[in-house]
Amino acid sequence: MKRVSTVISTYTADVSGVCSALFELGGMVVMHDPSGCNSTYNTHDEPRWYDQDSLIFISGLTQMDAIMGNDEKLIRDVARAARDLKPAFIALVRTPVPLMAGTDFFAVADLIREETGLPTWYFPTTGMASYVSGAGMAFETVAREMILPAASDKEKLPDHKDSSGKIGINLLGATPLDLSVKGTLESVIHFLRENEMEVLCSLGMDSPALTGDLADQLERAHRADVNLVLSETGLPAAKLLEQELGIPYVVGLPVSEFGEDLIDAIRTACAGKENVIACREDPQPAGEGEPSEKKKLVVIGETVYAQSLLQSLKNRRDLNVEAICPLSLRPELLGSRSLSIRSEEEIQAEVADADIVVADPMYRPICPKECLFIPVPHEAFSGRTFRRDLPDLVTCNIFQKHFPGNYCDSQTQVIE
Amino acid sequence: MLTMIHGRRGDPASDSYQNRQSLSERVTMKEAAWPVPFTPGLEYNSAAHGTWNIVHTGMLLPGAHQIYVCADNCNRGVVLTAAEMNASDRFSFIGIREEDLYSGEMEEIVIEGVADILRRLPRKPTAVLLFTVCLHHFMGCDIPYIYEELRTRFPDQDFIECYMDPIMQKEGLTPDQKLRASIYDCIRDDGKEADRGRVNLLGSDFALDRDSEIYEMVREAGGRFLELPSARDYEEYLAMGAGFLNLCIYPPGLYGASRFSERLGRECLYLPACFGYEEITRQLDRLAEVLGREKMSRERIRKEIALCEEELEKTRSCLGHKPVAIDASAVPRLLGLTRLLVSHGISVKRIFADAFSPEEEEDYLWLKEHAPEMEVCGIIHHNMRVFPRGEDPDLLAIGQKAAYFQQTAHFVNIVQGAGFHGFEGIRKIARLIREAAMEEKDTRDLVVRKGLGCESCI
Repeated sequence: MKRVSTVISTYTADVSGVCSALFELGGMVVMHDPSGCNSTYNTHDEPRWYDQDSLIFISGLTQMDAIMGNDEKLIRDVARAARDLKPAFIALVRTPVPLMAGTDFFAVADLIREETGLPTWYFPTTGMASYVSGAGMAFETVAREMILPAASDKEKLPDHKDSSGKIGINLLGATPLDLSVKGTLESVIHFLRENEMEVLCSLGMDSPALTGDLADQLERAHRADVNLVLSETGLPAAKLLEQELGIPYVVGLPVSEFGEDLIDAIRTACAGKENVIACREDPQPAGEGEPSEKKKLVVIGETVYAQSLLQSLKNRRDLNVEAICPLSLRPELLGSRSLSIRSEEEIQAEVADADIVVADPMYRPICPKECLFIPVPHEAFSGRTFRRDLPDLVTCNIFQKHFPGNYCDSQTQVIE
Repeated sequence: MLTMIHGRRGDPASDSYQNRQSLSERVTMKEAAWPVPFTPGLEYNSAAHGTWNIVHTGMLLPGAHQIYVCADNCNRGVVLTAAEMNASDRFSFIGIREEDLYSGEMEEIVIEGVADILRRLPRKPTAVLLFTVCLHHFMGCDIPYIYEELRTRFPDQDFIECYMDPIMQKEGLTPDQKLRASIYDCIRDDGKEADRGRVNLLGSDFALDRDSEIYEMVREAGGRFLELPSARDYEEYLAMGAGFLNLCIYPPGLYGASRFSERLGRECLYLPACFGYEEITRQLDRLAEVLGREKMSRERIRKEIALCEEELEKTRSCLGHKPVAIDASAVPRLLGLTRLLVSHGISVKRIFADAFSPEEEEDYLWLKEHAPEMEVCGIIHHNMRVFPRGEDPDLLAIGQKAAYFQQTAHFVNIVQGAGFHGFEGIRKIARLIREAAMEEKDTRDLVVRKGLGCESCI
């Protein structure tokens, strides 16, 4: 049965996805929920919770209020908290019970906006979709509400091009759910700098490696030459910015050797003003000298990361590589060797003949006992359970130990 | 027009003692309204997670398997609770999709999903704890039909009716209270006479302290003591059905202990872990009476109290003027512990609680009179998100939430009373306070771990 999981985990849901995307932006996020959503989010989905005081709450919905349609309490409580805490904006997030009760969030948001005078957004999450959808809609809203308005004053600003001639980049889709907090984001920024590119804005996660706080970064984001989409959550915002400001986007994460290809893709996108889904490129077709027996290698993970990792193996002629992208919402992101399947049953069947599996450790029980299992924890799947083992996805060459000679680099870490 | 016969939430007229609920996140004790000091509003969830949740409690049942039927957002919290305690192999779930809300097929989805899980499990469980959720209530799902069908299909498994329905908890029983009741449902009345040599402790996550007076009394009466936290196997759990007496020391367990006792026709004795000498003495006297033993001698009681006084004096002397903060997750009787410490010269500067236990009205009144300036802070109040951490670096905390809010490395790391009881319970807590004063703990590492006392792999 596809909806059954006997032993593996489930991915972060859309509700937490919204919270994660908005965490650092100074707003107040309210999950309209009885209890539990906030605890799940801050315990398993949010490594920043202990150290950063983002305003994320639940409404404490009761049975009686849900049945009687007492939205007045929600409005009053949000307005009261906004008076006390003075957020930059308010975000309302739907959970399963209000979905079922048919709460009119548009009206609730209007009334809160009227009462508080603050921008108030509503996110129609269900608690049943993945964080890719939730964070995606949150990033798209931030792009529309915070980046586009700054662009409308573009004429008043000095020449938007960097005088150094560096390509200006926005990073879209950065949340700890995909990148965690173990240095991946900093490594992306460092890698781009090494290649004569400058990061103007990292939407969703700030970094000490960047100039200015997130507000400053959002102010200058419209000046970018290219938007680099690091996870699928960044794609809706990238599409909006391409449509409204003509900024092309490139999709990919600079994972080991794929980094060079990604740099080429960014330059191509910048020069031709065209979008490049770099991580989707298909492996080279079979040619002479092809080994007669190939090993099957499967990567299970977030769409952009899994496919970028696959791209780093494109020269391995002795491998049949395949990506399983359980979260993929957009077929246009998937290459010919990528599958969008999610259930435990389907994934177990697909990896049954795999020789090598690269995946979060919580997938281990459904992989063949005899396969070589390379664990790469994914915060959006196993939460903090394996956070201590989580690598910097950019500098860590996970294949180094298993394919010595081909992927060694003195700067890289090795996962044991 | 609907008449509000129970008063409105936040309506000062419905509060006793004429104190208004506060809109702020902190008030002084003299201003604190009974029994809820703060006006409810948006809720914050702190980063301290040592208190047990329903997954932890469910895992106490030997050999059982938990199955949750809910949306991914709800599943995630419980599946990872199980993973962090290295118990993923005893946990499964069925994901609800949006179309399921309107298809009218929920009963079949649950039945077939459970059947599929049981078919695929390599080792069949002793019992299945099946959790339905808030959505099932709203859908009018036929829960009895689900269990009837499952019990027919799988006669070798016991099915336990469990709920993860927090939407009901402010107007009725919490999911935690319901689980503490249903977890004993597989223990059936076999028709035999109760065994006067067996005594059960029901409703607790922590095993009863073996140094406590009530344990000693049961053992001296020749009784075998049974409780879920120390049950070695399913048979030992089932053997609780023979016990002639059920004890409960943890307030959220009382509903379940009473229900179980009533169903099996056994006596239930509620002896909540408390901090008043007189109340403890009354509890011990009552236990002796039910056990058919002589009461503990008054001389022995005086000696026990003297030992408590000695420990408390050592603690007072050790702390000097060091301020103390206590939170409601540390012990069920927060006000009782606070009163005990204040009355022994210890400077309790602040307590953290969203509401007071109805059992503690006397202690509430005492503290209003004797510690009027002591601060009462909320835990879930929205302003606690920005509560100034570490404003009293010298402070000692009792409980994880107090330690988190105060950002102190000196804290007593206990939750839910830790299984302590009676005079010995007082002495043990006094010793832990001294220990906390002398030694630093890694607060950040400890308080974020779920289910204190359970295995934690993070």
